[in-house]
Amino acid sequence: MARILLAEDEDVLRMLVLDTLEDEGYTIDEATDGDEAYQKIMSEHYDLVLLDYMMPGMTGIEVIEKVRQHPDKQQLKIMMLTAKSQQSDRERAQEIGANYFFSKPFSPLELIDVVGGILSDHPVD
Amino acid sequence: MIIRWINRKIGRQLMASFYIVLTTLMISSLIVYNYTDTKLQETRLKLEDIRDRSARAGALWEQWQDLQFNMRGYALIGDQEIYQKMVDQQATIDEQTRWFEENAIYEQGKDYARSSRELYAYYFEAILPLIQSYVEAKASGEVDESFLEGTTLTSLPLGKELLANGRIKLDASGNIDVLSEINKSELALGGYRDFLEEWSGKTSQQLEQEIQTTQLIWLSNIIVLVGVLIFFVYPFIRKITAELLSLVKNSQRLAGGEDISRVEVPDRKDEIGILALSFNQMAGSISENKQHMLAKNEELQAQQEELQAQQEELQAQQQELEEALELTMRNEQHLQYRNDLTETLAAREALTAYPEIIEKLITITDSEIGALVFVDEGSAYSIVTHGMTEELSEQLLGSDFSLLKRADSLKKAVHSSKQVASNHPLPYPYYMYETAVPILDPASEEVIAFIYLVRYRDQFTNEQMRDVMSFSRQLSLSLLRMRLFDEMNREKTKTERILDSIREAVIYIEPGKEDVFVNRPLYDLFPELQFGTAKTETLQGCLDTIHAVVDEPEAFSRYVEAVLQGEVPKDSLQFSIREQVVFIQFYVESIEIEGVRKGTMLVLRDVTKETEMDRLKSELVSTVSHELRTPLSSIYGFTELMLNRDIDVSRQDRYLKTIHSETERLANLVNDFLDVQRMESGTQSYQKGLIDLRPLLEETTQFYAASTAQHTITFYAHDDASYPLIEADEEKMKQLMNNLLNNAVKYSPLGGNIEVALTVDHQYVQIDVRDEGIGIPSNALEKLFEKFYRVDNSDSRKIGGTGLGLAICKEIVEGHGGNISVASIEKRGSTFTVKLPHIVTTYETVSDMIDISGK
Repeated sequence: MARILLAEDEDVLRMLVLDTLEDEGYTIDEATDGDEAYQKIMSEHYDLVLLDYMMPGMTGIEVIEKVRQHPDKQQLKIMMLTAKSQQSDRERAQEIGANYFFSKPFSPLELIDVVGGILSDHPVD
Repeated sequence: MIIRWINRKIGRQLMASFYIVLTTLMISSLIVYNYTDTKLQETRLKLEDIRDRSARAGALWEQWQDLQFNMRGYALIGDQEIYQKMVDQQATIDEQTRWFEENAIYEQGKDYARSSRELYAYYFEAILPLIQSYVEAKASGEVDESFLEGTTLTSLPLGKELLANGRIKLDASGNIDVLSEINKSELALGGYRDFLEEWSGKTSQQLEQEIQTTQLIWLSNIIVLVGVLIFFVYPFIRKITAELLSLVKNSQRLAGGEDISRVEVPDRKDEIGILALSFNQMAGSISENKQHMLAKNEELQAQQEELQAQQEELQAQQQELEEALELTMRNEQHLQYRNDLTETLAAREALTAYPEIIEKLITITDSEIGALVFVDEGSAYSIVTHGMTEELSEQLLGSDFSLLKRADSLKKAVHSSKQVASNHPLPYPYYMYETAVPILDPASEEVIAFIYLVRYRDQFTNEQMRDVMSFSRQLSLSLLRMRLFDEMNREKTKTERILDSIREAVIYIEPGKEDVFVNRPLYDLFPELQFGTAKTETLQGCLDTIHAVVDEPEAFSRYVEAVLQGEVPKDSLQFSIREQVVFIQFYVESIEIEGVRKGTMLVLRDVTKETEMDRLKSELVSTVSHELRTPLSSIYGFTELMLNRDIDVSRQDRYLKTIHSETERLANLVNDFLDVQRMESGTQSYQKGLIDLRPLLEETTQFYAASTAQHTITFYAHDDASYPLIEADEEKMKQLMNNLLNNAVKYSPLGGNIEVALTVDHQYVQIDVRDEGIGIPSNALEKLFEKFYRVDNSDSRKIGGTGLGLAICKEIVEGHGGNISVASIEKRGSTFTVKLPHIVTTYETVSDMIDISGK
């Protein structure tokens, strides 16, 4: 099954996403701030990264910016999980290298569909 | 050849004579020296020879003496050794004697040699063999005597033989006569010595004489040379000098203006010859020039005479012209006065130039004294005088029947004359001529002023009156202009005051004008402009100064450029200055009068406050949406999961608890907003009662201590202090403490100590909440208690919040008549201090320190 990194500083939201996706059989790694997220992305292989926008340490945007500087992380799928749904923020994130967006508050069922869709396009080996 | 070469230069001639004299001197000296030296040498050799001979003679004589001594010894002792010595001496004496024989030069020398040889023969051929035979006889015992006896010798065979052939003689006593032989030789020696001495003296004398002679010759040689110098060189130099002097004299004469055409040229090839030739050429040419000049001079003299005649004529003409000029100047002076006056009247400064005007009028009209009298509102007069006493002015204005009244009613110039008996100001009685000319308003024909003039001697001429009349008309125009100017100034001041009193800064420009009008608020907004300096006088100066402090100069320049092109942009430009310290809204209004555009007003409005509010509001929206979305997301998500999934009971329980706490969080958030809303509208009300802070603080502290594992939370209440009651809303006090402790925990994410201390003084109860957290940057302290304010740095951004908590705290504390403050060091921690006034009633308490750490 696919491996997913979840970076979210709010405990309750992390629990929610974790429970939702684990029930679907995904393997989930957790990070509670931007720095931890960056460390994990660089040291592990993930099929998808769910990244909160507002986080202590590096923000989601800063994490993407740093990650995309590495040539072997160009193809990594990154989804921004954010309350900041304003258009300008999305454009900024897209410019920097985020692949998908998911707005808070969100429906767990919808999240399952979206994640499933993303990962089935490129089946995991 | 050489003589010709020498003759060409005087120097060479002189050098040649010098060398000849020198060479002669040197050669003669050398000869004298050489001769003297040779002679001395010769003489010295001769003297040495003489000394040598004398020494040799002495030595020979000594040998003889020695021999005699030895012979006596031998005869006595008969020692063979002594004999042998005598044989050696014989050889020496023989050799010495032979030297004299061979080297004798003079007769005396030869005599001495002969005598010496004779003695030699006597001794060695006769005496010595005789002694020898005596010694032999003595040895053989034939003779036996202790002392030699002369008779014994002659008795010997050899003695007999010698006596017989006369080789030896006997003296009177019968002894062998040795002495006579020796004496003979000694005599010869003495003679020879005397001769040698005499010879030596002669030789020395001869040398002295010779040297003297030589010196004489040398001296005479020098004398001859001096003679040569005197008799040949001196005349030669004299000749040269004489010739040079002659040339000098002639040159002086020539310079003195004498006419010298030629001098005698000496027959010389040297410089003097050349100089004489050149002099002749020069003299010739000068003489020629002189002739030429003389001719010219005569011509010039003729011309000069002619010129003099012309000059006289010119002088006559000039005098005529001067007279005419003087007349013109007099006229001009008069005109000048008139022009001055006209200019004064036309000038802007005429407002204050009344004394000057009346003074000039008096000068032009040749008056003595005068005044300008103005008719003010309500027919009152004001006066500007020149030369008039106070008394005279009062007289002029006071009298009902004065000249002015008449001029006023007639509306034309009036004159009067009166005899003055007094002797002042003139020393005799005189006539005083007065004139008053009314100045009329050209529009209303009303009298607005008078010109009043006085003369003492003569009446005013018609011409003078014409001048005065014409000035009265000019003066009327000028006065009207001044009134208008005054009015304009008043209006202008009014406009300026109005513009200064508005809040917007204004720059008013007119097309084609560099000057600008600006109001005071502009200086307040841009102190760089420095009121009253050249920067503010011109549009460019103004704009450059503003441009220098604008944060986005490009946009500002574009906007200004468009305005200067004549555009009136509909949109305003908003920009900040001095790195966002002040925000300015910049817009433009066209100023039109009766539909014609007159100028442009650039308006700069300080919108810093509004901008700040806008920023805070948009931040609030973003913060609130974030703060609200998190609890909403979890409530929404967990409920959806519970509704759609089969979830075990423990998970359900966990989800429900989460939903509950998130709902509470949401509720608190909403309460905070409501509090702020009440604060804003001033409708916050407090349910105050007498409460004891200590248990309240203990309780709150314990609650927080229990909820964190990372922090050690301690409550201090100082000993022996009595804690007064305060009048406060208990719920609000709890909220206050909750907010402060919540912040302390939240802003020390790495844990650490948190202390809550309660102290009291005679007026206040003080609560300190101290943490060891991230602290607050010093520039943020000032705004910390403003609502929606959040410290903007990377540390605090990690920590969520609405920016309402401290604003609410402040509201609560101030609502209780207290105050709240903060002290903080960034990255070290913060201390929040609340001071609340207490009620006089106190109660004793056993205070202690209670450790209620979370661990």
